[in-house]
Formats: sequence, structure tokens, C-alpha cells
Amino acid sequence: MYPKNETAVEMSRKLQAKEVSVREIIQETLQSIRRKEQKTGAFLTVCAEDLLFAQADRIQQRLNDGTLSGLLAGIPVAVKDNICTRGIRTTCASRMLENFIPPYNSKAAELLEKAGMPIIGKTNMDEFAMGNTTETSAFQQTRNPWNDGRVPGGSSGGSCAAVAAGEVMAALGSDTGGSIRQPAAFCGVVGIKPTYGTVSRHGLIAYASSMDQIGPIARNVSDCAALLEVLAEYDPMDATCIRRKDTDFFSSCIPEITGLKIGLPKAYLTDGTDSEVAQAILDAASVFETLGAEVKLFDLPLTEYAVPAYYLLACAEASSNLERFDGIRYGYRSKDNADLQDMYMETRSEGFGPEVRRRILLGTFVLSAGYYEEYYQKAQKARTLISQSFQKAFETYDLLLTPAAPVTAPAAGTACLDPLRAYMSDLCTVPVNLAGLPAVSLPCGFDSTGLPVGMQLIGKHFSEKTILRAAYTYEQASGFSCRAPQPPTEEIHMTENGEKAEIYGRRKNESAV
Amino acid sequence: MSEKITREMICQISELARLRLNSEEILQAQHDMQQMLDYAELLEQLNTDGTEPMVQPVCYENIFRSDAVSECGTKGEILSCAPRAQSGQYLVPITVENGGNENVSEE
Repeated sequence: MYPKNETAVEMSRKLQAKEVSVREIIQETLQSIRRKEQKTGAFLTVCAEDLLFAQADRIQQRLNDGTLSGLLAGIPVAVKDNICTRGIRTTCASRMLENFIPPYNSKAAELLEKAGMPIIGKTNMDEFAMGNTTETSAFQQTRNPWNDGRVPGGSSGGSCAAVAAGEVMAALGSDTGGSIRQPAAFCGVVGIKPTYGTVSRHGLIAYASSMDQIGPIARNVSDCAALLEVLAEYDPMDATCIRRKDTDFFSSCIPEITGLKIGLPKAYLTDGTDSEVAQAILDAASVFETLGAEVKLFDLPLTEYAVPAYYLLACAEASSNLERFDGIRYGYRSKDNADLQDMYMETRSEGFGPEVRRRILLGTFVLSAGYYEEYYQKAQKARTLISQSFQKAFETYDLLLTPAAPVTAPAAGTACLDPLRAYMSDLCTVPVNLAGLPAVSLPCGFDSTGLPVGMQLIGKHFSEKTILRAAYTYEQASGFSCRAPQPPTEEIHMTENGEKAEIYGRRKNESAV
Repeated sequence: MSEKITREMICQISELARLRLNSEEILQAQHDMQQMLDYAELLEQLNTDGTEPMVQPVCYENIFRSDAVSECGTKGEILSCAPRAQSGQYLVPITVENGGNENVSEE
């Protein structure tokens, strides 16, 4: 749909120069979604055309009368379905909220409106953001645009797939344990998990509040930076939101990293990491060196404790946060119950899917009398030590370079079979959430089957600008981020008995778009 | 050795979590939780003596705001999200006596 290599920021400039209208962009985006959605399955809701056009006209008016400017004015955006959007169904990909239409906007949605960015639709995700394949969604499967037999990752799989497929130029995701960075890696797009507190959580349906962050997803680093700039505004409605003055992130997208010190933690390259992924990260390290950075392998202690600590804490917070789904004030309610207790039990058992129930049970257990200190508090203390371990590393290094995921996108239907194994695959991303650090995930190559590999750059608190500068410099040198999935070439084969069999042949995904 | 998870424990936890599990689900939950706690046992190797537990990672100060009235949704808008409402109030099953009738209760 969009011209080759055109960024969202460039498209917005065209809008502001009246070379194209907001209506035309909306129309083109809707056409692209219609064309590709049957295959991708990224959206749970696409907003009504007449409402979008009405919104487009209002934005056009603001552009025309000079009251609207900004890096992304007029660019449609897809929003993950756990971010409340006034008047637009917000389901969290759960039966529990299947018909929930929020009576208020999240701060993020409010900021999109202020920036003149129409919300084109709401994207699929793992139910209540619990999962890393988007397969725990109660409604549909989202396919990886690079290979439809593979998962898009998760939990922001719908947002990342929509961007990778070229249905939208930008999207919002949320990241509690890697839910932006891992699907971004699997789908070959760029995603940022900001420093905890940078983006307001007001109106983000809570999973684990001490780690949840909303962040941008786009096809390239500078669009992500521009969208983060839109989102990073102080909000008194979120008591953990931080008043930052350094939010001109787009300006940090300059190709200059001479003297930057990058640490390469060994454990991220060995413990269960696929050899092709590890090699892609080492290759990226060489590119950084060529570009003027100093890269060193080092030991980052305590990495192995991050996954168990994360799951104990996240499930504990989730069990508490999801108590609010009681069938009374909003959401699903079971029918014909004998009494209130019965209604609570039936509502929650019918409304939540298996993965959500599994995490609520674990969280309830670790918070219960007798186990609180042994599990929950122990994990909180481990969190302190893991955070200190990062702080120590940042005394030496400006950034840390790791894979965004230990593997490339797994085959659909395989990852959810063993929950513990699925949890362990989050080892590259969860330490960052425990410590509240900012990190970016961006493409850095392909495996032998043509699936994208993503690298992660982690910085100390509030170092988004350094991260973005390094990511942008790498992107400009490598060009990986501007590539898009090759449309499948339909091949007709005849079976032995002469019946027609259709299969999808696929070239290695190397073409630049 | 991590805590041995029994069927009784799962039943008690599911009651606390207000989740109803059938026999098969209890067995599955027993297995899943045991597996997770065995894995979490790894944390026992970590010396956390004298370490403060971390509640959240970045902001360490109390945040205050003025106690001012601000705009929010109207009562009608908020009640419209409820599965059942009547006379401007949430409608819930009877809470005092047993029976299948619903009565009006203020939440």
C-alpha cells in the first residue's frame, strides 16, 4: 500500500504539504487491511469507515487551519486491544470483555487523538497479555506475515503482524515481560519498551502493574521514536508516571555512535539460544564495531533467576489485578446463578481462558498465607538484585546488546503445549521489565528458513535517546528494518492421482519494500 | 524441595481465586503449579539476606496530587457497561438468602 521505504514521518510531511489527504490515507489503509487481513488475522476490530472518514475530516480541518502539526499528524495507527478506547470495543482478547465498550479513553488513546492520529482498529493479542504467541486469544489466530505457519509472537502479536504485513505503518503494543520486543523480533519490525513510567498506564487494562508499559511499534526506528514522542507525556492519573523533559526522541535518530560502549552479556548467547540467532547478534556486534562502537563480551550475573522471579511476581500481580472481573460492573456475567458466590465462580471460570486461569491460580498461591515470604517476597528480593546487576553493568557500558528472543518464530500450535517451556523462552526480555529499563527490538538478519531475527538494545533508565541513536545508526547501515515479507507465490502442484493441490511456495524474504 | 502441591491445596486456592475447576482441571492445575514451583526453587540458591524487596523499579517517591474534582464518565455511561442494571443501580443475585431471584444491591 505505502510507497517503498516511505516512513510514517515522511507520509505525515506529505499530508501537511497537502500532497495527499487524510481521507486518502484512511482509504488506502482500510483497503490494505481488507486485502491482507484474511491471511494475517491481526485485527479484532476495524473501526467503521464512516466514523473514520468523519475523524479524517476533522484532522484535515486541523491541518488546514494550522492548529495541527507534529511528526505523525494524520497517520492511522492500530492499537492493541488492552488499551481502552472510548466508544471502540476493547476486549483484551478475552470472553470476559467480549462486548466491553470503554466509557473513557486511555491516556495513550487521548494522546493519539491530540496528535491527529486516527485509531484504525484494535489488534489481537494473548488474552489479558498473558502469552508469547498470541495463541491464547479467545477469538482468533494471528499469523506471522513472513510465514503463515508460524506465530507472530506475543502478546502484542496483532500489532506487530499488522505493521509487518503493511496493513498499518504504526501500532501501539504493551510490554510486561517482552510483549512488544519479542513479537517485533518474530515479525521483523521495530518495537520499544520505554523506561517504566514514561508512558501513562491510565486505561491500559492491567496485567502486572509494576512492569506494564505501553510502547510504539513501527517498520523503522525513526517512526518508533516519533510515536514514543507522542506517547511520553506526564499523566497525574498514573501515580507511577514520570515527568520527563527529554522526550524529543525523534531528534536522537542520528547516525553517530563513535565511542559508544556496548556490552554483550554471554548468558544471552548461550542459555538455550539458537545458534543462528546467536550468530546474527555477533554479526550485529561486528557492524556496531565497524560503525565506531566498542563492543565487549562480559558476564552479567543473575540472568538465570529472572524468569522464575518474573513469573512469580507477574502472576501475583495478575491475580490481584484480575479480581475486578466479578461480573457486576462490566464485562461478562454467567447466567442463572444461585447466589452471588456462585455468580463470581461461574463468571470467572467461563470468562477467563486456560492460560489466564493458570496464572491467577499461581499468583493466588504465592500471595496466600504461608507462601508469601517463601515465593513472592523472595522474588521481589531477586528483582532488587537483578536490577542492581544491570546498574553495575551500566557503570561500564552505555548499552547492552542481546537477542530479543532466543529463537525465531516457532510453528503455530507448538509453543503453548508446555507452559513452563513457553515461560522459559522469555529469558531475553523479562529481566528488562524487572529492572524497569528501556529497550528496543529491531531486525538484524534472517535465519536459514527466511524468518527475521531481532536484536535487543537495553539501556539504563531514561536512556531512550542513546538506544534510539544506536538502533538508528545500525538500521541505516544494515537496512534490515525496511524489508517486508514477500507475498506468498501461489504454486499449483498436481498430486499423484491428478488432483490439484495448492501450496504456498516462498522465496527467501530478501526483497526490500 | 519445593512445596508439594496437593489436590486439597488446588481446591483451596481455586476457592480463593473464585475459579471453579472440574476434576480434570484440578489435576492439570496441580501438575502446572508443581512444575512452576519446582522451577522457582532455583531462587533458593540466591542469597537475598539483607536485600530489600523491590515493589516497583523506577519511582521511589510518594506522589501527591490535589484532591480536586475532575471530569469522569456519567453515571449512565458507567452503568451502561454493567451486565445488568436497574433504576440506576447494579443488579446482582440475591446476597443474603438462597434463591434464584435477583435483587437490587448498591455496589
